Amino acid sequence: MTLTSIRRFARLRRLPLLPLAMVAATVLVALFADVLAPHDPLGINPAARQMPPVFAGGSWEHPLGTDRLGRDVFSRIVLGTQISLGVAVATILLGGLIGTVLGLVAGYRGGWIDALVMRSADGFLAFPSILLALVLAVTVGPSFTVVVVVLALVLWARFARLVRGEVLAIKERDYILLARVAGAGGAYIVWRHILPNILNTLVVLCTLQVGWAIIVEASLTFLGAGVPPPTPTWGGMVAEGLDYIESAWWISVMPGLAILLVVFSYNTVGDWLRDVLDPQLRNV
Amino acid sequence: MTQQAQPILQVRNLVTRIGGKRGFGNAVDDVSFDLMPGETLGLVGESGSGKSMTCLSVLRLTPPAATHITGGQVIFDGEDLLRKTGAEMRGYRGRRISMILQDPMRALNPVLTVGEQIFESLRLHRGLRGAALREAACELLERVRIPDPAAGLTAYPHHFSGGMRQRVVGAIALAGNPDILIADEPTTALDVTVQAAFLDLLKSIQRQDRLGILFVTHDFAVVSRMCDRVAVMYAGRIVETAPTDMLFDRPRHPYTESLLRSVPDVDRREERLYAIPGQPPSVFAPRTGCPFAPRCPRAMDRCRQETPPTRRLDDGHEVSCWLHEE
Repeated sequence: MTLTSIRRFARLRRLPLLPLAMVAATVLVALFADVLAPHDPLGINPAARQMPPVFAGGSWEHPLGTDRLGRDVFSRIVLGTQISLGVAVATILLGGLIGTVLGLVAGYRGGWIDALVMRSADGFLAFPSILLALVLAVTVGPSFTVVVVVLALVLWARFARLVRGEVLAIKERDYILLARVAGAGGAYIVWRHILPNILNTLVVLCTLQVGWAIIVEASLTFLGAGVPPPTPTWGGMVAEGLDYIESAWWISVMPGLAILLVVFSYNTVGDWLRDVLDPQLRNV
Repeated sequence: MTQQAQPILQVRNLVTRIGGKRGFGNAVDDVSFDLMPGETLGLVGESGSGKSMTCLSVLRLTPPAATHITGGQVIFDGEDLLRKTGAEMRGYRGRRISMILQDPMRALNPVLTVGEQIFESLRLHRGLRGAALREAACELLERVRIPDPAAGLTAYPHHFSGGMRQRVVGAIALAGNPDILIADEPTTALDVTVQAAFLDLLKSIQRQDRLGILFVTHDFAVVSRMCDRVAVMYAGRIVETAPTDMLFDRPRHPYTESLLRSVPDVDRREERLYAIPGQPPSVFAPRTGCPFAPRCPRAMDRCRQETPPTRRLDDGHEVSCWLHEE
């Protein structure tokens, strides 16, 4: 007991405080975006166009400056957090759920179901998601839903692959055989014995996918296949500011920095979680 | 064995085929044995002789992709299990026939508490809920002599030592009040003192419940301690079955003889330990004659051509060897 508690303490000392704080901050900002934004993120103000940020000679009225329509960049980034994180969470919930269920079934049942699921996963992983998004954006029109569906189409395959691999390893363990000896059925074994064993892995995968989802969402919006304007999104803001990069660099750079920091934080936290959870799971 | 009862389990001419990239063969080849209520039947043999596959075949839990039970009967309580549907079979598992395995470190799910894993069996087999469930789980842990059962319920498997874990595994196996317990080398992973305590526990539970135990092992010390009768397996076949003391005193099959000779004896300080020359045949090798013939010191021409039938000898031995054909 003492040894494990010391170890646990030591592990906790290697806590990535800054990224963790960033992750917590993004969640809070996303939840309270409407309260935190000092200005209306959609409010056009022709009198205050392309105002520089406060550290580049601007005023505290617009701490990160304004864009070409005089909209407050800071407020738009704050509201963009909601969209970016919303897309990420919705994608991971949808894709993760589908992928996990299919991965569990494929791994546990094996045979043709396994072959079918895994070959489709390969197909979806090989298919360029940006192209798919562009096609959908043209045919059904760009929207939040389209972005989530496109991302989930790729994401389920990643979850399915990982989950299947874990199931293959776990289902050979003795306690699975003993559960079958005890008369438990397939669905029960998967739910009660296999799923709890891969929960840690799933948590890590989810965290690591947040960064990916934010970047792809930003790319899609940048290309015009994402969440349509005037909704403020980070990718969209970068795209809008690109034409003014020489005169008003902050319009693109500020949301770009937001993407950078948030993705970095989520990935760092994900890596950290993997290190913390994995050896514990293997050692018990 | 005091009263003449019906066997609880009769295995008749069981054949389990195994197949893969390397070919096909019989992992369990024409195996027959009886198990009486309250009796312990030892199943001994080298690794790969088909002991575990026989056990899994009885429960119909052999790996579905690679194996197939192709013939014979597994008559449990008068009914042939091989004719049951999958759903019917699930009603037998745990409730009538239960099993414990070799390595208690791997037999428990590391992410669930011991309590949850015992509750699971109790819910499944006895339909217990709530307070009754807790009480029954405590009773079970008490039965397998776990000190402080209430605390044990909330502990995780890694909080227990190997011997304690095997007791927990035993408690889970006994949750459904089975008629038969299949014990697949349950003490191999335990050290000797813990082993003795576990075997004593198993014996006392057996006496209380008239539990039939099919005891797989390759340790003759354990056999002499536990088993009423012993079946010796070689290459998927049972070559000799006899009451334990008779098997030790007068082995009738040359393989049993060699096997007993290979057990090191503390009293005899030999220069070299005896080893049976040669290797057991691969499951996938084609078979003609007695599978032990190539390694048998007393093999005759006939042994290499024809498979010997199983004969019941006057002294209670059942043996499959041409030496005993008159």
